[in-house]
Amino acid sequence: MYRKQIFRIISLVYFVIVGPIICGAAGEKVSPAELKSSKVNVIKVFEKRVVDLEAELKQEKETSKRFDLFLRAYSELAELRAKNPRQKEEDEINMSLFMDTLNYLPERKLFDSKKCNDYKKKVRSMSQSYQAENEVFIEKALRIVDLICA
Amino acid sequence: MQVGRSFWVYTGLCISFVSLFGWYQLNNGYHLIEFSSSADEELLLHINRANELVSRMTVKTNDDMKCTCTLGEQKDILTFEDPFTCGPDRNYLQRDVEAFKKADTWGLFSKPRDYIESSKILPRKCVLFVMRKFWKDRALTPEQKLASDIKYNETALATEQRPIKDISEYKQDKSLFSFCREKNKGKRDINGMLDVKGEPDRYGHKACVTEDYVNLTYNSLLDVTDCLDVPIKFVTPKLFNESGLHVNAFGMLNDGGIGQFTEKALHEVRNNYDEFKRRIVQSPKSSCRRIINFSGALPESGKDVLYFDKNRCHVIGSPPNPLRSLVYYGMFYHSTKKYSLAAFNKAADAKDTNFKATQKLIKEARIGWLDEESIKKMLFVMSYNAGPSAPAIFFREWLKYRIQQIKKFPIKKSDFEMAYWPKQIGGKTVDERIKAVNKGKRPFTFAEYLFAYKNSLYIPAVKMHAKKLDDGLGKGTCTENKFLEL
Repeated sequence: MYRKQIFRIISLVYFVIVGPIICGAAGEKVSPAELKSSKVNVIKVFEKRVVDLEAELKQEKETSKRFDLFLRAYSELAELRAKNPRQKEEDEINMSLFMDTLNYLPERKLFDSKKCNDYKKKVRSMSQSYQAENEVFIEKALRIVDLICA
Repeated sequence: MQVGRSFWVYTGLCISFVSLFGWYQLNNGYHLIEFSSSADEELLLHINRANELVSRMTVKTNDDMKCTCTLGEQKDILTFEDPFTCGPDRNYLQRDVEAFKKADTWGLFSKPRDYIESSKILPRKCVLFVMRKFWKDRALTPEQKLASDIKYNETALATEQRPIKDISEYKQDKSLFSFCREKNKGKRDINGMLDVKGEPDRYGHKACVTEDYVNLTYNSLLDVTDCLDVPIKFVTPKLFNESGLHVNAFGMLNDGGIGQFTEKALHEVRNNYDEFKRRIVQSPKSSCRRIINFSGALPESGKDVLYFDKNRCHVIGSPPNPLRSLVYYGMFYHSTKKYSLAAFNKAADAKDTNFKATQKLIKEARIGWLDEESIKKMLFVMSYNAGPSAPAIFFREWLKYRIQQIKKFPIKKSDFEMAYWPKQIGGKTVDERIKAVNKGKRPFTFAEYLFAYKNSLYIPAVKMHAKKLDDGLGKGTCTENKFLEL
């Protein structure tokens, strides 16, 4: 008698709640909710968003749009850190190395695609270690700049 | 009358000829080296003869060589090394020194100067001390180390005996020097210049620190720092730490020459080269004029700055090094300083409103008393190795870390103490290094934090070299006042 209704409710619950959770777990995208949650493993989400950003940048053909993709991710990462308490020292350092390297890129209104190589040169000059190996998170940031200006 | 006149003409001609011949011998006697066999003893004889001739031609300067050290035959007197005492295995750079002198037609860098006068800027003994103190005279094999310990114990007191270990526990010393030879790298051209495109051969022993070698290094350092406005007492302990002022220093990361340039650092020099060269060429300073006049010291353009590892002789081969390498060092000093200050002073990030500027953090950390210029210098010193922005990022993170416990553990002057060296430095992971610092509940000082989280002891290493100079030659003689301290 109520079989149809029960089935509808279960389906609804599945599509509205369980579905997105499964999709998120599959690793396609980090949801904004996850970025703001205070219980998340911040460094893991941070790294995941960076990997996502790399994939997005590789797919986009226009420099200006790539810069927009970067700005969106950058602001999400900033928000993720702001909304969560201070993490383990090592993680905080790594996240700052990434963010502070990219803060040498201009803001949106000053960005000019034609000057991309100049931005790239500036960020490299500021952040490149003169040792054989650079900090891993600085390298990640430099890779993002390379992808934006590819 | 006529007979008398020709007598005086012939006599005059004769005297002129003899004088010219004598002058030629004094100046060019050592060129015989070019035709001699490669036997080391013969080479030494020529070098000594050359040294003798040069010293007869020039005024001997009696600059102060006192030190609190034993680096020579006499205690507390610094002395140059003698090629005979150094032995054949340490005389491998003498040909290069001679070639430098030959290329230096006017003796601008290779001839002695008024060292009493120049000691007002930096005494020559600072350079001699650094060159002699750096690393080891000879790289030892495990067998030599074992034999040395056994020999030492024969005369040492019972309380000072060295433990005799198994031969497998003695490690071979690293080969931290190099040479750029003609046979591998092409021939010298008419000016005595080496083919600069080569790769150096690694070598374990330090080159003999002769007076000629010290003079050309010291004179080059004086002129480059003057020409490019580089504070000489600031860079001396840094160069002590990097290369010991040895033209042929060759680190394990292929960092080469007096400035210990890596590929990335040379790339940075290349990017800024043209602007700096223009400044040197336009400068009215006599130091700059001398640099310009030395063939090869200033490559034509930035494109000629060779940065690949396989080209490291570009900053090692002499001539024109150490002059060229020092010019690059001066350029690198300024570009790194500019970027390092920009990283420290970064005020805001329009893309990230959560970014906290150094100034804001200093305020939150309640350290308004902080001498910011000293901190900037520390971070700048570290930039030479870690790149310009990383030190400032680590400083901001350290402040954030300390702000969390600021009430319980306020930041004190001692938190900036850089004369720090951990008992164990081999920790590969952050956790291992944190354990090595072992502070209990007290938070880390800045030096400890850099060691634990950045695995960097670069500032303490430079500080330690400055201390060696202060202890050996007197505080402030070769270093800046309050160098790397608040």
